Amino acid sequence: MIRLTLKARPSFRLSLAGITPDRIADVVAAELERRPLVEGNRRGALGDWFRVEASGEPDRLVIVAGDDRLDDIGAGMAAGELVVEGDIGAGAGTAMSGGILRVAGSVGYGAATAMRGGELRIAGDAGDQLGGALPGERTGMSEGVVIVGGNAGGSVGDRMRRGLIVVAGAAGPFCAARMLAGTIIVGGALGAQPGIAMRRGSLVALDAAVPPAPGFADCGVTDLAIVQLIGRFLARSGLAALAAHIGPLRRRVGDLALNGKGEILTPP
Amino acid sequence: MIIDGVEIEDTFAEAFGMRATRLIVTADSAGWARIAGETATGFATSVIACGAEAGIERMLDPAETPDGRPGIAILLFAINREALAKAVRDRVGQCILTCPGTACYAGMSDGDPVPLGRILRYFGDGHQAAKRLAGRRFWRIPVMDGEFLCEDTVGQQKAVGGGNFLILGRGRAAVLAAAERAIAAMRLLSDIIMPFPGGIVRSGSKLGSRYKGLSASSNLAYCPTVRGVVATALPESADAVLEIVIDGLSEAAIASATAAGIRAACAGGGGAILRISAGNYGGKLGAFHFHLRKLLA
Repeated sequence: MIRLTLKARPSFRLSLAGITPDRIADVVAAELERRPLVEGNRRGALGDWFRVEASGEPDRLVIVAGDDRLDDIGAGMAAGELVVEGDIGAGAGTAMSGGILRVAGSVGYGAATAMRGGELRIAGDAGDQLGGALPGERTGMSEGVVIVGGNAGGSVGDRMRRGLIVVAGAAGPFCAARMLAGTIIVGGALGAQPGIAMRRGSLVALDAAVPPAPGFADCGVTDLAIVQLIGRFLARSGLAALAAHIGPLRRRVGDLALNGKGEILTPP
Repeated sequence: MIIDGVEIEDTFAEAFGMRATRLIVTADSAGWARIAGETATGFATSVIACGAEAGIERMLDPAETPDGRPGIAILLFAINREALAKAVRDRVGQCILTCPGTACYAGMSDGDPVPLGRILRYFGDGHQAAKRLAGRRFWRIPVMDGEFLCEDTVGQQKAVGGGNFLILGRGRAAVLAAAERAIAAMRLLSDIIMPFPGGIVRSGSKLGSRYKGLSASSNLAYCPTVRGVVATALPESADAVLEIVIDGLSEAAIASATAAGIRAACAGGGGAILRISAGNYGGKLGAFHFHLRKLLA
């Protein structure tokens, strides 16, 4: 295990892109301290900001005492386990393709952007654009699992292509907007315009109060086997409280403005 | 060799390589899961005329199924991957898709997979939808009672078909009772099916026929009503024979099932069961030989 302990709050945003368990597994502590990092527009070495300790399991990285100025944690991660014992900033798990990233606190803007695999677990809240697309890209998250224990900001799963996002709490406006496929489950309230411009995919909103979705056609209440599968997945993932809400759901199909065949599933 | 007063003939069953898969079918109740399983495995006694051999492996508790509903595991066997793919497509499409409340899942993931929902999805006429969850891909096909949920593909593997043994005895009722005991014991085991009605065959066959175009015909050596006019294999006082045919996912599964079945058939026969034998073709056709005495030693 490698432990990175933040010495002091960075003055500006500090990117930890490339500092992932799979890329530093064979690196000795002294060498790791010399790894280049960028804070704002200033270049430095990892040792400038972190105290490095290495012992035991090489594919486990722990960042002690996170900070919301730490960006791109787990970006590009392909294997292993990365644990953050606090809050972090933007871009957590960007383009992640494997392994598991656990965040004990909250994450900022753009977590799981362009995620291609693996699992991102956030105990606290997530900022806007969870599971979205990189600037200029046509599609967002294309595989993997994201589980948020708290609330999420706006545009969860924007342009999402595949994969699963679970938000145990509430989600902000434009949830599942422009979604191409995949599954988003929200346990709490939804912000305005859920599923707008949605092509395919599923938004499962387990809170009874769902805002109007004018582009969606009501297809009635059904008890779907796929929902049972989702419920069992939630239960296995430690989200038994959410799983308890699984049952017959009302199905709305849309966004018909785009001839979409996505769906919003809500309590009857 | 004698077991419970029954002679075990020094012979062997000859079996063949096949391809097999397992499907998990769930429904709203165990009764409907069974109906789906029985329908999908109907008319699947022999590849000779049915295209596939199929049977119910066992019922599944809700805790054992992917969607937490009662279910059933069925095994399908065919002579090659292509024939298996056709059997899966046709049987799931006609017997499980059509059955109220069912869903169909892959019961194995290994091997070059055969299409399942991937081919049946077109029934949705444009309103089918794929859903990927926990690394597995499913198809949701709209049907009149909701949705038919079906896994995208199912794995398949090498398997063994045609394991068998014969129960020779005095009195049809006693022989049938012995065969039923054997089937009851064998149904406790995994990875096997007995594809014939109730697991039991009365029309054991031999290769060839005196009639042109008929590849198999009645195994007259074991037919009591012609014993005086053919070279019979029946003991003096035997007047009924029943066969149990076994298909399994492995040679070991068939061996275990054969041994368990024979022991159960011999036990409690009350002297009416005279001999256990097996069907073979001289060992020249099948790659798998199950020597009865070795299995029971």
